[in-house]
Amino acid sequence: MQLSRTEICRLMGIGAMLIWAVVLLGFYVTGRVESYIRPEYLRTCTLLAGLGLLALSAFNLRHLRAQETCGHDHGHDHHHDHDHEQGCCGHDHDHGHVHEDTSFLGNGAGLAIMVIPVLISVLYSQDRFLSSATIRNKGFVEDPNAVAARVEKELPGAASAAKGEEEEILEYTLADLEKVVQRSPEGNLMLTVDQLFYTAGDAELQRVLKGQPVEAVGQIIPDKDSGKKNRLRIFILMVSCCAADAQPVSIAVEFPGTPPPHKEMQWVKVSGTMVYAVENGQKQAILKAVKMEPTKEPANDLLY
Amino acid sequence: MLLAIDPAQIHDSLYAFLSILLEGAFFIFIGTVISGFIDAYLPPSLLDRMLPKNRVLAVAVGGLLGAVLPVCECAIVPVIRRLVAKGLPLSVAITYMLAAPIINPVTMVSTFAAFSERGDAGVLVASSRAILAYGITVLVGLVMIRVALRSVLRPQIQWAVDRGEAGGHDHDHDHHHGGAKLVHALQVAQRDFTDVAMYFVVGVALTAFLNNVIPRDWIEPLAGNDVTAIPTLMGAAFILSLCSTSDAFVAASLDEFSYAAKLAFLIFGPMMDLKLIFLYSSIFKPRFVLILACGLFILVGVVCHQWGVFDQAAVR
Repeated sequence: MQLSRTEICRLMGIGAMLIWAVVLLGFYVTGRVESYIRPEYLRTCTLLAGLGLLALSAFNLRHLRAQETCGHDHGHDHHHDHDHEQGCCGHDHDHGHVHEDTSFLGNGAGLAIMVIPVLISVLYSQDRFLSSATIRNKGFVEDPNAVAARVEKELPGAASAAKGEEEEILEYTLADLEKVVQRSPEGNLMLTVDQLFYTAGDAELQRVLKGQPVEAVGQIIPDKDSGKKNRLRIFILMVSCCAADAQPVSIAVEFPGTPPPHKEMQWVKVSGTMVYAVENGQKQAILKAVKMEPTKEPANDLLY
Repeated sequence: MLLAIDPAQIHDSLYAFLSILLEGAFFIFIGTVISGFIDAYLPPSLLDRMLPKNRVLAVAVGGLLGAVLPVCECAIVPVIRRLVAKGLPLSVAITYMLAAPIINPVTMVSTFAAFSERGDAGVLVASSRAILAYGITVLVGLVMIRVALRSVLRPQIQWAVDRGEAGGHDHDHDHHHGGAKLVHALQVAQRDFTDVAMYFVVGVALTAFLNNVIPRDWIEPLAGNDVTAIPTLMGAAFILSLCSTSDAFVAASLDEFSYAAKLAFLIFGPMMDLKLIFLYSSIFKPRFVLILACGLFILVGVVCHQWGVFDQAAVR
């Protein structure tokens, strides 16, 4: 089967689309996509894009030799040695042929730009941020209200009490908190980093949590801004749409002396007691740590 | 103020690159399929019949098309490319292209939601964003009425417009059977996809890299007054290249900046960012894209600054 230049160029385009389709479907099938984009609806979009590209590639492969219908665009004002094939509509007017770029070099370069960076990223991306510099560059979320919508769903009683919305809750108590938060075998309240961060903006929760033993899991990073040698920060990443827009939500972790040995960006479980202090004009949630140990990366490491 | 790059940030850039790509691929795909079907099935005469004859009115309508034909900034580029080739007046096309990512239900609801979490600013920011964006895009559209197509369009798009104007393509193709039209539509979709995806990849690669290596510390000291804060956040919006449906959540978290600066971020970003520069280059000449970027930067900056002055006066 002898292929014309036009058909070879079409095949190259189909090949590039197939590579994209395989990448998208591969990410969907392996679940890798969940480390990259908001799962609820964008995960489905990835599947649809992969299937759509696959179908489009298959259709165009099936019709590789089809002539285009009348004219239309895709033209170039430069002259190249394309095939002047008559359109299937049978017109013999001068625009009944296809104006596709049939330059191997032009097509090849364009498709290489489309495909090579994607393949390199698929091979070398670690599905997470590795550098603490990247996290610092993104800037830590400073306003506890930024996580309010999420935390208020997880701690409904606390949120209502803080807002004074439920008349029957006259005073929020530890017992109310314990209804929605479990304790570990060691007796620590198991809270997430975003929940602890949120408490810095909620006087009612601060009153209840102050001095309580808690534990939280997050990634560790030096706290360079505080200037305190006994202080680190643990953070988790909050994502709106995709990992590129991730913002770290963090709390300070303070040790009695030098922090125990650790690797930056390592996942750790920290236990200790909660205190609150005003620093740089803003209330800070500080976990006075008594213990920090490495732990496994949680299945859902991004907060959506 | 040196830019120090940790080698691990290269991996982080690959991660960010793929995340934007996975997010945007579906929208690019949908945009290019719509583009193919527009090319095969939409008679150019229909555009003439649908739009008001008065050019100013047509631009005003173009600014609102996003409300009924909601398309994000990635998907709209191939659609606009095809509509311009089909004879949609450039002034209307550019107004629609710039306005649609902001003036659509999804973006307005997400803006409201993001700012509602911070008190009662949701309605104020969402409505201000839509109204200011509409005004700005219509203004740009009105200017474009006087601009010659040939001076802004890439040669291949100009070629397509010329062919249409010459009368070669405004018949309804009734003599084509459905199968041939479908083949044509999907072949066009393939070419548009590979073409737009190439520009998209370059834009996203640059965005992902700069997004990770530029420290936020650089912009925070400039938050103090709007004269520095507004251009700073517009510059950030340009580099971050966030999706218009989610950028409000990032803007809302920029506590140290005024509402005027956040509005500038929310209006300028969906109209002009790093990845869009490359996507727009698939339709327009690079010189025009540069002029459009600079013009929008100044226009959005001035409008948002004046909005800030008005807002502060109202608060007092």
